[in-house]
Amino acid sequence: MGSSVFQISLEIQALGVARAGRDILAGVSCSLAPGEALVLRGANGAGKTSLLRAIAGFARIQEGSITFSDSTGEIGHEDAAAYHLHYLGHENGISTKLSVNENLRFWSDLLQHGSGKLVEEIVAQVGLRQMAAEKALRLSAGQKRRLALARLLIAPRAMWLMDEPATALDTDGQALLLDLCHHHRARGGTIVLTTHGGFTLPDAKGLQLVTPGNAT
Amino acid sequence: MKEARTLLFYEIKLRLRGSAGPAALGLFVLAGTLSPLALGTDDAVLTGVAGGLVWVFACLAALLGLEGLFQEDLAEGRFAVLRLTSLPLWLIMLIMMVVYWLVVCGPVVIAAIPIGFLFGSDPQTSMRLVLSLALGTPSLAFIGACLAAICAGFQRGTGLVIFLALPFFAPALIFGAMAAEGGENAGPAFLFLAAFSLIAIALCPIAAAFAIKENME
Repeated sequence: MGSSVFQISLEIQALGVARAGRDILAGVSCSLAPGEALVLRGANGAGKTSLLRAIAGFARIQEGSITFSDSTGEIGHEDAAAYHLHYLGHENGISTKLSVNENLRFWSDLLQHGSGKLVEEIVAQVGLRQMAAEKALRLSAGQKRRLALARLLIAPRAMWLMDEPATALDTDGQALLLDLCHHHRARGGTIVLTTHGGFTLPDAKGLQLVTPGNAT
Repeated sequence: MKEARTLLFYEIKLRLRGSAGPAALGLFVLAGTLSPLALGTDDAVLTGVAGGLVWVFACLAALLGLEGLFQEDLAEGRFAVLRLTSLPLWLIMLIMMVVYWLVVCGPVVIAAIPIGFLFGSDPQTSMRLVLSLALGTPSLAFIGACLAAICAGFQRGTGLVIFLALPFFAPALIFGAMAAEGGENAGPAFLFLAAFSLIAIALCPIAAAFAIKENME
C-alpha cells in the first residue's frame, strides 16, 4: 500500500441531463483527482442518482461534458466504462439464482484484470463466509449489499460510483464500507457517492444538487 | 474474448436454474401428447395436421419463456454491471439470446422427435419436422427476446410481448409448417426459414441493445 495504483481523474463541466423532456440536472461542474472522494447531497429527486448514472454512461448527456483522464491524457468514455468504473446502485447487480461464490467467480472472470485476490479471501473480508455456497436469493438485504461490495474488491477499478452505499448495512457493515473506501483512496482510487446525510466519508468534497428550476 | 465466454457460461448456468426452460418444454410436451388423443385415431387426419400443429406449440413454447426475461436483469441491476465491461451491448444481447434459444427452444426441438411419432409420422417426416424446428426456432427465440427487451421497462410486459409477436411469428409458422409437410414446396420453405432466422439473429441483438439502453436511462 502507500504507492498510488490508480491514476484516473474526472472532470465534469456544465453537465445537463434530461429525461422524458424534463431537466434533471443542469450546469453541474466538479472535478476529482486520484485519491479524492465526492459526496453528492440533495433532496429526493435532485438528480443524485442521475449524476452517478451519467458518469457511468447510462444517461444521455444533453449538454456539457464528462471527461476521464490518466497521467498520459484523456481516456475515451468507452474505455473508462470498460476498465475503470464500478457502479453500485440501489440494485446490487447480483445474480440472485447464482450462489455467493458463483457471483464472485463470474465477476472475477468478467471484470478482472489481474487482481490475484482469491474469491475465498474476499468472501471472508465482507463477512459472508457462512453464506458462500448459498444462492444469493437467500441473503438478507444487508448481505446482498455486502456481496455487491465484494464486486468492488474482486476487480480493482479506479473509480467507484456508489448510490447510497450504506443502505441496509449494519454498524459493522458501515465500518467495513468506510474501511474499504479508505484503502481505495489510499491507493489513488476515487469515489463518488450519494447520501442522505447519515453516511459520509472523511475529508471528502461535497456537492449540493438542486432540481433545475428550483435553483435561484 | 474471455469475457464473452464467461458471460456465455454463467448465462447458461443462470437460465438453466430459471423456470423458463421446464415451462416451455412442459407446455410443448403436454400439448403434443394430448392433441393426438383429442383428435381421434384417424391416421390420415393426424399426419395431415402434425406439422402445423407442432409448429403452433413451438411458437407458444418460445413465448412462454419470455416472462420477465430481461425485466429481472434490469431490476437486479445486472445490466449495469455488464455494461461496465469491454463487451459491447449488442454482443451481450446476442449471447443472452443464444442462451435463451438453447435453454428454451433446444429441448423443444429434441422433444419434437417423440411427439412426431405420437402423431403417427414416419421417421422421415419426423426428421423433417425436427429439422424445420431447428432451422426456424432461432427466429422465434430472437424475435421474442428482442420484444421482451423492448417491453422490459413495463410492469407485466409479457402480455404485450405476446400480442406484438403475432405478426413476426406468422412467417416462421407458415413456412415452418410448409417445410415440415414435405412435397415440392418443402425445399424453398426450408431456405426461407433459414434466411428468416439469419435475419433475426443479425438484427435482433442490435435492436435489443438499443431497447435496453433506452430502458436504463
